Amino acid sequence: MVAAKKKTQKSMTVDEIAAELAETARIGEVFVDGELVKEAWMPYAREFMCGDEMDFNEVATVPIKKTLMRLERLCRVPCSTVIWRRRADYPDSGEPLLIGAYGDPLSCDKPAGSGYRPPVMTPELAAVFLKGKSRVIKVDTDHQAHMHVLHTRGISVPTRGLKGHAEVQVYAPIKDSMGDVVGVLEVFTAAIGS
Amino acid sequence: MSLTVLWCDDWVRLDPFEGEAMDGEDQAPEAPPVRLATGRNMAASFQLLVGPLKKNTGVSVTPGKLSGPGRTSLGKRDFDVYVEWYHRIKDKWYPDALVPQEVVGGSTSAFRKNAGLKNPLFAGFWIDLFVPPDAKPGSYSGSLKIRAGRESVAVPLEVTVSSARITAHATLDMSFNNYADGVSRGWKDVNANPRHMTSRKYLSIERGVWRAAHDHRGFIHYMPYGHSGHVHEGFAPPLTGEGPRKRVASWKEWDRHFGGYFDGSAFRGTRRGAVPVKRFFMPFNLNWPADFVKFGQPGYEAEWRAVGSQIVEHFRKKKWTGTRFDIFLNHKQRYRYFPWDCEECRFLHDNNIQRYFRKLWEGTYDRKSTRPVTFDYTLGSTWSYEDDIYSDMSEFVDVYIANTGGTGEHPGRQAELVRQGQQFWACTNSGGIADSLRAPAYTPTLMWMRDLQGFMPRWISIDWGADPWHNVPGDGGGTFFYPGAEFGTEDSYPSIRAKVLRNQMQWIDLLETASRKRGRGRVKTAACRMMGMKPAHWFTTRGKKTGDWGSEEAAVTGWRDISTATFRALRSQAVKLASGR
Repeated sequence: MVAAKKKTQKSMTVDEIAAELAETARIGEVFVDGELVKEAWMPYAREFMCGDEMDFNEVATVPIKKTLMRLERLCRVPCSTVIWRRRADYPDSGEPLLIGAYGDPLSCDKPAGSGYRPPVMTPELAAVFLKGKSRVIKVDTDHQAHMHVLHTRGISVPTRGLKGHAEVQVYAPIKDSMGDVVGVLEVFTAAIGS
Repeated sequence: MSLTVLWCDDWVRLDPFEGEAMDGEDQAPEAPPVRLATGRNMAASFQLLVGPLKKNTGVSVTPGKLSGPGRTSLGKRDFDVYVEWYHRIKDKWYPDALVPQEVVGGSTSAFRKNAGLKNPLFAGFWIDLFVPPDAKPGSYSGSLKIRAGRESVAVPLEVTVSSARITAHATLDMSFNNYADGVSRGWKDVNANPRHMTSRKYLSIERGVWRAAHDHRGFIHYMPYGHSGHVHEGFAPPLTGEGPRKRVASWKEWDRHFGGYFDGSAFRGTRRGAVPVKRFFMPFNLNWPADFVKFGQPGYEAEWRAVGSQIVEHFRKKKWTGTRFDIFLNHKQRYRYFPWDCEECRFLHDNNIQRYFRKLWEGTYDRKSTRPVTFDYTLGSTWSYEDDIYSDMSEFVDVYIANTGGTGEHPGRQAELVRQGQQFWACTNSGGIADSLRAPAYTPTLMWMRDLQGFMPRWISIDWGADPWHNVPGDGGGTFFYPGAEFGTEDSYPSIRAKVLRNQMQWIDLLETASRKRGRGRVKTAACRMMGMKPAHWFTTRGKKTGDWGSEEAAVTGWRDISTATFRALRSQAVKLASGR
């Protein structure tokens, strides 16, 4: 959104940023409906293998999308969100399902017309999906160009005690009504250092 | 060996090492004099090949006065001289980017070295002669002076100017489609600044590329938001409030950014003049001006309408009546931000999002709500084109942007809808750098022959990658303009393919001029007869089915069946028909 007024973001440390993101992830864990996450793709599109086969179920997806947008507004630092899923046909996969304001470096690529393979689960996603961790925090300094895009879009926080830029990511489980982890919520931002 | 100058028209590209025509078909350089035929208020193009080049020798071209009928003349100010930049593609060196001679001082050894040419034999120049609208018809003659080191030669030039004249208004909409903010990628220092989109330099370079497109009878069609719905800073006025109280907080920066395009003042000083840009993508999307959190609820519609009424009122007050303003929902599912393919719908139920927006559109931006300002509901429709043009969508879609194959399948239905005021475009492919220049010339010809209203020569037009000068992205077909950052300027420079598109657009304008006198059907029939075709040749009638793109390749490569000689003859015919002879 283009806001009429922009708040000036105060400078924070990476730990302070991570704490704010973790608080939002904690709230998201409660409010993102795991049953809807399971229904996000139309049944015939759940195992899509190219962009042309992707078809969301809007009845399930619109409420999830609105929840992501609300979580981003609730957070006390500018941030974005992504929901990740495991695919039944690729159990080792960690695939982006739905993105809030902007994707993280690994969720931005769109599947092409052919040759798509679901991405393999990252260690952070595996920790939540497979090992049952309730919160995982990662500080990523590998994707400087992506950080710049986030910064350009205002999804960034001026950061004390950091050289260069880093992406601060927090992961939390999304459970269905049976208590099974059916998705992972990622809340992240670009930490802009000196 | 003494200095040699060869010339050719705009259909030919010459190899800088051998001086041979690269396409070969009906093509060869000739010895002077240069002979041109053209109408008025249009450019006549030719190329010069100068050699043999000596090491460290710079070459330049100085146009002279051309004496015409009575005591009239065409002067130096009517010429634009460009130095041809060569790109290495598949082990051949093709001229494509055109750098104004005044920027680089001619074809210097440093210029050639920068392009990567090792000991070329020839330097290439592209020259446009703009014949003013009030030029007296008749024969003009004079010469250009070519200087290479201490040597110089005079090249005689003869131009026949007919009474035919085109206006600044192009018959076809030629949309150089792009995505904000692709422009800034051409200038690394600009792109490095996270707030660059409101910086002085960004606004200057953006204006430069818009002016370049304008002078080539097209326009930059610049999508101001991403698939996420994020509108880039400076590309929408700031909003405040919510629900029915939502409003534009200030127009100041947005008007400063874009107002000059709508009143034409941003194009002052161009050859084509200060006429408004033909079309403009508004920032309307699923998340602007209404907040998507309210989607499907009363507040969403209230916000859409509240801001809409302000926009219409502001545009009326500004008298921005020369531009058509598009709503174009560009969101696609594969980016995973929203659950619909809002354009190029693949699954028919996705079109329900258009029906939802129809309700918001009517009473806000439809014709009767906005007169004399024009807003168009514009839809990208490919997979489902055959369904869309026969469905209830045709009751409210103003502009269909289809693929090339699709627009050739349903001439009857298209004509019926055009009579109702709807418009049809094709997003097509005008060839890459290594393709014949007949490819870009074919595109406007095909569109006019099909009675379409516009086209995108390719889905993207300023694809600059990391360094388009030394490593043009892909086949170069998405790079119609080049960033002047390479030479320290804030302007953008045309490609030879942009020139060929512009030139063909001019000839189409001449055919349209003739159509107004004689009827389009008769002019088309005459043009087709000369080309050895029937008007039906431009269409396909095999009954394409939804989701079938099979006819696309054949549709975009039709230029292979038309010789350079035929294209040249079409131009002669256009002059004759438009001159009334």
